[in-house]
Amino acid sequence: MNGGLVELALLTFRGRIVRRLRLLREPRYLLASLAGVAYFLFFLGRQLGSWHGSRPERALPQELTAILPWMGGLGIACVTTLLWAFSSSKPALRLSEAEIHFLLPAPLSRRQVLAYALWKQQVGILTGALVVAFLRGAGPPGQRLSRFFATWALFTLLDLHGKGVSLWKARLAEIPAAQARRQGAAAVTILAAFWALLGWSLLRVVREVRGGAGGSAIDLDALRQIAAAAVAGLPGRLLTPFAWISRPLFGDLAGGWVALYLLLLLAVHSEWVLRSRGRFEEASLERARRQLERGRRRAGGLRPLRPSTLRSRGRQPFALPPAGRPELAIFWKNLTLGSRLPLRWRAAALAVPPVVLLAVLLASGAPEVLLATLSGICLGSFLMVPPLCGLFLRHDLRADLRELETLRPWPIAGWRLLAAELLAPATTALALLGSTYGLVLAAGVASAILGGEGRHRGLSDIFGGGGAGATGPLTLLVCGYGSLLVVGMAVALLSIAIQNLAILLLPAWLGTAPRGRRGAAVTGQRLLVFLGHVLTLAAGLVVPALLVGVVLLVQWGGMGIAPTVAEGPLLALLVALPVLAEVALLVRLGGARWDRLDPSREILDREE
Amino acid sequence: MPLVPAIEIQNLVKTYDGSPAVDGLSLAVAGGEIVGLVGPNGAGKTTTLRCLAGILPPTSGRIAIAGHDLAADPVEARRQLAFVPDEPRLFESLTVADHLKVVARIYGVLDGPERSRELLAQFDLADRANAFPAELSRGMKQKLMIAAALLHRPAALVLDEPLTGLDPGAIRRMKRTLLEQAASGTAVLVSSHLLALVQEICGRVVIVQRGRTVLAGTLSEIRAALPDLGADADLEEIFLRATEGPLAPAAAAGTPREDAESGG
Repeated sequence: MNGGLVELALLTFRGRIVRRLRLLREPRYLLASLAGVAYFLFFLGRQLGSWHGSRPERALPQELTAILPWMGGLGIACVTTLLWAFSSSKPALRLSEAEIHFLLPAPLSRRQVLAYALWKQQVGILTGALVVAFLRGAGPPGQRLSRFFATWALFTLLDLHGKGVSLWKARLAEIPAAQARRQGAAAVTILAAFWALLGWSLLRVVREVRGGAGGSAIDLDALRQIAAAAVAGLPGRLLTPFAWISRPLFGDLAGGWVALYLLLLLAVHSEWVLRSRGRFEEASLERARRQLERGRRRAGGLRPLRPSTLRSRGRQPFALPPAGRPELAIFWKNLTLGSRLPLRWRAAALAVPPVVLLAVLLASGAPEVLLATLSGICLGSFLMVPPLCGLFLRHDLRADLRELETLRPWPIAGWRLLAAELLAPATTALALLGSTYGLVLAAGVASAILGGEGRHRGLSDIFGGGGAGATGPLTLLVCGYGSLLVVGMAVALLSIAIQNLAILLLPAWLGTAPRGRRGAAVTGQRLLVFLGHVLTLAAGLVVPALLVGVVLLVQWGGMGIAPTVAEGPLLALLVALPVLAEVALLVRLGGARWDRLDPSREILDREE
Repeated sequence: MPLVPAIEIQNLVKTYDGSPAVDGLSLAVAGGEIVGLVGPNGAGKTTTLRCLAGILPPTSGRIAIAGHDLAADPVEARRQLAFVPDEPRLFESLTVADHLKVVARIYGVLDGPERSRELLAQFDLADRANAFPAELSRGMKQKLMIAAALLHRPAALVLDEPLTGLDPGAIRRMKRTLLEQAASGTAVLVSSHLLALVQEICGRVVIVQRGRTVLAGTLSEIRAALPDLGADADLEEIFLRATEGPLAPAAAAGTPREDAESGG
C-alpha cells in the first residue's frame, strides 16, 4: 500500500485516540469511560475465568463433531451462492466522504485505493473476530486463538468474496453485452451445476440409506447414517473446499494445513478484488452520503425517510389552524417525524384490532389460551412501555436538537417549548397503551357476553384482583385496567420528560452527533444514562407510592375496610397527580436550562 | 428623541474555555439600514450572529432587538428577529409548505397562508411546495430558510453567509430582497465573504478580527480613515489592509470599537 495511505490510516487512528483522550479531561467523560471500561472488564473477566478451566467447554457427541465442519461448509456454500445472486452490481467501498474526495482525485492507483479500503475494513473484522473468539464461548487460550484466526479468515473471505462478485457484476455492465451475457451465463452454469450435483448426490445417499433400512421412516439413527455416508461420498467431496474453511472454527487446524489453505484463499481473493476493473467510485460516494444521512437521522432518533413518507406528503396529522398557540405547531411538526398519517386514521387503525378481536372471540367462543395471551401482552405493555418509552420514543427535543439554530431563535419560552416537545411522544405512548387496553377490553367484553366465569377469573388473576368476582368483570376491566392506563400514561410522561431534561443536561451523551459513536466512553455513557433514567424514575414514584401506601394503611389497617377494584381510579389519580406535578417541575427546570443552554461545544461545534 | 436601533450590541464578549471568540464588540443597526459584518475566518462573525439570534448565551454584554433586551425579554426580542444560519437547518419530515405553516404559527403570523404563497412565488418555490428537504438542492434549501425568515416581517434580519449555494439569478433576487427589506424599514445585518456584494448593498461595514471591531463606518468614512489607500479603494483592499496589513493609528480612531470603549 502507498506510504501516504499508510500514514493516513495511522494518523486517523492516532487522531481518534487523541480526541478520545482529550475528552477524558472532562470529568463526565472520564466517569463514563471508567463505567464503560468496568463494564467491558466485567464481561472479559468472566470469560477469562473460563480459560482456567472453571467453565470447561461442553463436549459435543463425536458423531456431531465429525459432521460439523461439513454443515459449516454447507452454510458457507449457501452464503457464497447468495452473494453471487444478490450482491449489488454497484460496488460501494466503505470509504468516508472525505476519503473519497481526497483519495479519488489523488495520484493513486486504483489498486492502492482498493487496498486502502480493504485494510480499513479490517478494523471492524478484527474486532468482530476478537469478540467471537474471546467474549463468546469457552475453552483454553489455544482454542480461542484458533477460533479467532478462523473467524477472522471467514469474515475476511466473505467480505472479499462479496466485493469481488460486486465488482465483477459492475464490470459486466461496462463490457460489450454479448461478452457480459457469456460471462454471466458461465457463472450461473457453474453455480447451478454445483447445486444440482450436490442435491442429486445427497438424494442418492438418502435413497441408499433408506433402501438399506428397508424403506422405513427416517429416524435419528438413519439421519446419522445419512450424514456419515454423505460426508464419505460425493457430497462430502463437493463440500470439502468449503468445509476446510469452517474446520478451524471447530478447533481443527489439521496440522496447520487448513491455516495454509485459508491464507492461500485469502491471497487469491485479495488479488481478485485488487485486479478487478469494475467501477466503484459513484456507488461508494452514494454510500458515504447515505451513511452520513442515516447517521444524522439516527442521532435524532429518526428512521431513514421512507418511500411511504414521500408518497404521503399530501397528508398531515391534523389540520393545523394558521393562528393559535405555537405549541400546537411544534406538536404537529413532531407527529410528522413518525408518520404523516392523520391522527384520526391512526386512531381508527388502533380501533380495528379490538373490534376484529371481539368479533373473532364472539364467533369462536373466546378460547382460554387467547385470553391468557392477551392478558400477558397487556400486562407486559403496561409494565414495560411507560417506564421505558422515554428511551425509545424520541420524536421530541432529542430529534430537534440538531436543528437548534432554527429552533433557538423561536419566540417561545423554554418551558413552553419543552412542554410542546413532550406532546408527540406522549401521544404515541398513549396510543401504545390504549391499543393494548382496547384488546383487553374486547376480550373482557366477549368474555362477559359469553358468560364464562372461569375466563373472567383468568383475566383478573393476572392482575391480582382477588375481589374481581365480587365486582364483576366489566368493573375490573374499566376500573382495574383503566386505572393502570391512567398510571401508565403518567409514568410514560415522566419517562419522556426525564429523557428530555437529560439531553439538555448532557447533550453529548444522548447523541446529537452525525455519526454512530462507539468506544468505552459511549458504552459507559449509555449505561449511566440508563441507570440514571431508572433511578430518577424510581425516585419520582416514591411520593405517589407513599401516598397510596398511607391511604391503604388508613383504610385497611385503621378502618378495616378491604380495598376493592372499584377504588382503582381514585388510587390511580393519587399516583398520577403527583407524577404529573413532577413532570411539570421537570418541564420548568428543563425550560430554564434551555433558556440558559450554551450549545456551542456539545451541539453546534462538537468534535464527535 | 433618538430612534431606538433595531439591532443593538454593546460590549459583547463570548468566550470558549476562557479564550474569547468575541471580545467587547459593539454595533448598532437602525431600521432601514443594511450593515455588512466582514472578517477573516475565525474572526467571531458567526459567534456574534449566533449570540444575536439567542442561540448562544453571551459571556457578557448586552443585546437588544427593537428595544427588547435579549436577556431580560427574550421572547419579545426574538419575535422581532429573523435569523438565517450559514447552513440551511430544515426539518426532514416537513415539506416546504409545512415549514412555512409551522413558522407562521410559531411567530403568530395572522395572514400566514397568503404570506406563504407570496414568499413561495417570490423565491421560485411554489412548484416545490410539497417537496421534502431531502429532495431540494442546497440553494433551494437556502431560499426556503430565507422565505421562512421573512414570513413574520421581522424588524431585524440577521443573515450569516446568505448567498452560499445560490445561483446567479437567485443571488440577484436575494440582493433585491434585502434592499426591499431595508426599504420597508427592516434592519439588516449580513455577514459574508463576498466583499463585492457587501460593498454593493451595505450602507455601512463592520470589519472584525479576533472578536474585535477593527474598522467600521460607511465606505467613504473608512477610506477617509485610511488615506494612504486612495479615494477609490474598494472593500477588498480595505479588508486586506485592516486584517493583514498594519493598520494606521488614524484608521482605528473614530471606529465604533473606540466609541464603545469610551462608553459611546
